[in-house]
Amino acid sequence: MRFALSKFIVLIIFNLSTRLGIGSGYVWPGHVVLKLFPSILSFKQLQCRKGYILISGTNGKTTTAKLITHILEQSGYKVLNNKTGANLLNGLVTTILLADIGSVDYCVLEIDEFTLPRFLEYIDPKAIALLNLSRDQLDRYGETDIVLDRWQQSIRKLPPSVRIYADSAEPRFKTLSADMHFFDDSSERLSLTSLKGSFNAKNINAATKLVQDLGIPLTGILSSLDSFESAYGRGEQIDFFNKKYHLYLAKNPASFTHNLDLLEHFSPDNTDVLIILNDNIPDGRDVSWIYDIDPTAIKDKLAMFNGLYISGTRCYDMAVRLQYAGCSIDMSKVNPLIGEVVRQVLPKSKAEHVLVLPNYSAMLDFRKLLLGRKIL
Amino acid sequence: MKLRIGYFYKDLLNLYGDNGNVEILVSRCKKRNIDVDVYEVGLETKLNKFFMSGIDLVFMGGGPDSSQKEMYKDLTTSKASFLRDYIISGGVSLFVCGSYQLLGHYYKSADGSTLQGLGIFDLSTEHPGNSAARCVGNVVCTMSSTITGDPSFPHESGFGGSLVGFENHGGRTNLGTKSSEFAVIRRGFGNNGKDGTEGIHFMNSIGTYLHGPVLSKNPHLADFLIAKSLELPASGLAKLDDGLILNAHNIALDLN
Repeated sequence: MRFALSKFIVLIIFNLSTRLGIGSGYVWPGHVVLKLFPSILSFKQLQCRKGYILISGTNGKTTTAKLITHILEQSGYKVLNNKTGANLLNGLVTTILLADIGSVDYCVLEIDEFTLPRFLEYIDPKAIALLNLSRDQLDRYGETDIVLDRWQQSIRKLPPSVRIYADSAEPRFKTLSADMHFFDDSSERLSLTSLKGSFNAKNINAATKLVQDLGIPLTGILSSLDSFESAYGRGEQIDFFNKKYHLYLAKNPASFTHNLDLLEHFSPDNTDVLIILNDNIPDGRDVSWIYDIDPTAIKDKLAMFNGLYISGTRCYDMAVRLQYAGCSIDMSKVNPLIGEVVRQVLPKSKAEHVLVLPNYSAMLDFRKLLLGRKIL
Repeated sequence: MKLRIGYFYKDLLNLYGDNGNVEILVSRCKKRNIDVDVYEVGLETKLNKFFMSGIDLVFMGGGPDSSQKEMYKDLTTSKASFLRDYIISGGVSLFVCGSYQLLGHYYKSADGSTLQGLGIFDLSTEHPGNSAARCVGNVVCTMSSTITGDPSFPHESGFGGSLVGFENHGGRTNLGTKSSEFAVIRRGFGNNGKDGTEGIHFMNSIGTYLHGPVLSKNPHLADFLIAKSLELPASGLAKLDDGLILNAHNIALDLN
């Protein structure tokens, strides 16, 4: 009865908020249900057929969850995935209750680093992939040590059958559980996909190892990798008025530095770089993390691009940071209004490609500008 | 001319972009053809009087709890007396957040346990417990006249005496009666969210809660530290083109 009521509430609020355009649609339904039934996640009707697979960590959650989802779907399974990135407790509850969870084989969820322990209080997953932990939104979360400590405490309480997959290069993950499985950044499978960068090699290896242990044969995995399309804003390509925009989410020092490596794949003569920095709530109000980006990497990889455009609510902070690292900044290419940059400033450039490095809300704003919608 | 920076615990205290402060000091010196040597002082470094007498400017940031514990032991046992002598004898230094707190008399943490500080700064810090909200957000303040009245402070910079940054701390700091604050809060919490003070200015040392990093949008403070360290009047430093930074500073004045 309570389960049916929860489903009904979620459906009503989801439809209302989507129609009225309040938020992403995934926040409020789960929020209300959690207020009414705080233990909703412990309801046994929330079980799916083969189990939950959880992906957490600072960077790579969306891509890795999409990889696992894609491979499982290609193998004929019915999969539920929170592909819009609603990865806090309210969004997860909405995602699960909107689906016909009883008919789902695998529920593949990306989960915010701080939300993971709360979710694990109620649901024992089949497997968890822990990708990495680095500085991200400290004004909201405090330090990575605190996150790691909470992971350790909640994982210790899980049944021993839960498999944990972790980055072999992260010493702090080595002793999280008795049943650890490790992945690395070996690149032999990266070339099968359209993805780039050693961080994506890790995501692919994590996904591959995890689904292999679910019994998916390697040949099936490899052909699935070939047909994989990158998640929105994570290597996504959008054509807009004779230019190809390549979107790579850059929301913290680690992802920004990784994405600077991608510049090697682009020619400075035919590529402009657009960096968008916002300080909205989902991004964290504190932008001081931009000084944790290695200045040498900025100078070596970015400074040679003459077409350097900077936008977003904190574009001047980013411009100052890049200037201190050794980039020359053209004031006419720094503009807080992203619409003006795309419609009036960038068209003056002849470059066909634009590599876009936005942080989170900037990525959503940018997609809305080009595609007319924020998420999928 | 050469500026010698003593950079304390770079690898342990590297939170919130504070390492950018040293990057900025170095960059602003190089643009003026002032040589800079950066000496990293870590857990293994053995300090001595001769070494400290060769330092013009000390910088120390804040870090995650785990590294602060490691650092604390080393700081109190093998570095404290040298740092005290350096500061008392008028050495120029900048301490941000965690290190600022540790230079006071004590730090009472959220669980009630007390950490003895170096007692160089006349201040003490208490965490009111985890149920109390952290002091988090954008900060605007005005530097105190003990800074802006100094001959090494650049008055022609266009930045006036205003200071912008970001704070993120659980502890509330109270200055001793004879201590003077580094700045007066216009927006934000500062030392304790109550008395309107931010940081401390003691001799030629500054302690502050401001991240950003603090020198990134406050080049007048960076130049003050450089000039003071080199014992120059403000006019002794060539003017740099800070137009871009002024834009960032002015926008930050209105951030809520």
